[in-house]
Amino acid sequence: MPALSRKNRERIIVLQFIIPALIVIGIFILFPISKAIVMAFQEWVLTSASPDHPFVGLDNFREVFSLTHFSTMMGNTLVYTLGSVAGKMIVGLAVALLLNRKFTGRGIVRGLMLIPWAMPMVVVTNVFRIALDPNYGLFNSMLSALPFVDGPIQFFSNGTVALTTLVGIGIWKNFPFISLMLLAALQSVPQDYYDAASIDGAGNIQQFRRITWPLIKPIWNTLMILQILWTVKEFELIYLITQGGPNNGTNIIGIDIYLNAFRFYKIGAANAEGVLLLLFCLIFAVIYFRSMHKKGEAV
Amino acid sequence: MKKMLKIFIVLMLVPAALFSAGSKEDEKIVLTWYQWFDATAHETELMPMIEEFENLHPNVTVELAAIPNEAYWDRLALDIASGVEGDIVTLDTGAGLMGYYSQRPEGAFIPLDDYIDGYVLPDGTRLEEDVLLIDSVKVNGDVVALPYIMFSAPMTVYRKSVLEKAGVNPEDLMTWSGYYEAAKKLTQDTDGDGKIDTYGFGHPAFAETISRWWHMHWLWTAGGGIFPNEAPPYTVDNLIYDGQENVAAIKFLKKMLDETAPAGQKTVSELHSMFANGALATVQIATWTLGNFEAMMSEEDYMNDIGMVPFPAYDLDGAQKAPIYTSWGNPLAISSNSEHPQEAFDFIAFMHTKAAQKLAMRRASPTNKLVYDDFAQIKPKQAEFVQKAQEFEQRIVPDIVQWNQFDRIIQESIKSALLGTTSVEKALSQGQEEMAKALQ
Repeated sequence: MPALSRKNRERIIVLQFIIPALIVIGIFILFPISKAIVMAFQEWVLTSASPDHPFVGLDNFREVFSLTHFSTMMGNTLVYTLGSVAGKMIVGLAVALLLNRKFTGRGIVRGLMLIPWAMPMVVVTNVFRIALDPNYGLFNSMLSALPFVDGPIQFFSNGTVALTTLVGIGIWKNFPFISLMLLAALQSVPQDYYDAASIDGAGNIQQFRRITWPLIKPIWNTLMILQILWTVKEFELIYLITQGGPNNGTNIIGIDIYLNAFRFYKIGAANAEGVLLLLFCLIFAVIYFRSMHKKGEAV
Repeated sequence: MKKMLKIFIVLMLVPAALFSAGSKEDEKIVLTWYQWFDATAHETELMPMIEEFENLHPNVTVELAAIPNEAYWDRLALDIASGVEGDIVTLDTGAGLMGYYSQRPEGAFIPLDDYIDGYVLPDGTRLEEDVLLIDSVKVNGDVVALPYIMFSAPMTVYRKSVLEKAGVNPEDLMTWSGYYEAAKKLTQDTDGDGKIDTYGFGHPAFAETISRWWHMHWLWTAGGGIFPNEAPPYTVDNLIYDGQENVAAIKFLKKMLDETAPAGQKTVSELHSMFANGALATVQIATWTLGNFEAMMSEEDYMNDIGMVPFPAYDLDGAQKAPIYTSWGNPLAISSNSEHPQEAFDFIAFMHTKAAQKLAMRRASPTNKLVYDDFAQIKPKQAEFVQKAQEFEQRIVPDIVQWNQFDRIIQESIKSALLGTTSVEKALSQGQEEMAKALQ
């Protein structure tokens, strides 16, 4: 038996390392995704009792597009994702910049900041539902005491107000993660740069624009893309507070997928919506990988 | 040598075969029971009865699958689809029984008529004659489950002391117009701080899984509903959801909410807590709510300060329509995948013995007619509730495979109308449009 060349031996060694991971990825990620894509083109309704699931072409997609609330749902998904991600990134950056300064009790504040992020979503939703209640909500009561506020505010009775409130809760819940990541990035910026800039007469804003921002921008971009991918799939926060109402005013695609699959048992339609969401996520995943690739080349 | 080896193998195999045959005979039958009942129900009601059943049937073990209430229906649908549901499945006659049944071509639950026929429990209970609500669990003429416990709704409860102080006669609550005037009187700022602290009425606008008690009675009593009298045929042409009767009912409810109820989207539990602590003077309840009040209120308040009158009769625009009630059950069905249907049936039949039914009275009404005298003694308020409810027409939501979709449509459309997100007419009309799509 001829001896293997060094290159082939190396290939075999590499394969030995890769194959277990590929098997796991194949079983737990690739197979479910491909199965979901196939199901999106099949007749899959749990209550139909039919053991067969014939291919129905684009029927499931047509059903999704013909939903009376389709445009509202897609609009809400976009507004919620953009609003929430923008808020989280801006608040996260502002808090990271503050916590990067030296002040007494900084360690405690950094620890406390993580509380919203560490809280289970069910607790967060219940806290806000109670705090914002127009009759006995503490937050609502404090707002009502302000001279320019006319009575208790009905946060979840109007679609636009409810969606805005949910965006706010989403920002509150998740900004600490952004702050933590950006804080780590900020701490890696050498102090010498700021000292040199100060000697050259650069103010705080100029230092931020010329030193801080360019150095933390790659992390910021990566975080933003990841946040878009995570936020577009939001479900718990909205479902536990408004269940997508009132009048579909806070209905986003994640909720509709859940309802179609687990309430109405329309698995085909739910998978069609899942495929649409997958396509949306793929666009950002490609952007993310391209930015990572560029970053790798730069290094 | 070969011969010796053969003898050795045979000698080894014979006892093994005998042992395995013996163990098969002794093998215990394990039945899994799918239900969502809480830990107290497990401890005080289900486990003692299971223990007693197992003593009578030493070869059978019944295991409780503890599934949380909120996850139960999703889990049941998925488990039936995967063929892994329990041998015994708890259902709800107002929550789309047909939908789950239809998940298998031959039905997800076995017909029980042959088992029920002539079955008499040791305490003399005859399943065919003594169990209530059997007609509500028929599919294509076959009984597919046995109602284990039942509930009725709705009754209007009031705080006697609050009504007395406001000078309101409880009988005023028995008509829609009287209720409106009474609720306005009961809505008060009692401590003079400029904020209302007692509300005359409460209605849940928060969309919860079950709509049949909280919205449907108002629609039905006004003469509306989803289909005429909720009777088949359940076709698009037969939908009456956007009818004038429903519009009138929801407009009335909105007026009541705007003028006499706490603002925002209250859940049923929130309203019942407000009633228990005296912030709400009246509210509609189901039989199980009384158990919650008993736990939340002092014994004195529970026994002496709660009054009950029937759901109000419709009397707007000169019309007179009697209230419409509902009684629904939590029946037990046997999975068509169960390998031990006879043992499973023995168990569900056993849960209808007088002893088991008395234990179930803690939270619900029994379905065994023979224990109603005991019910009146052990749970007098619940028994009074059931007795009063039986005086009125009983209706149940249509058992269609699309029920879950309908439930969501009803919840969301009525919520939008009640909160003023959209007009009542538009909300119901959009609701009807969505119902038509679901049926098609």
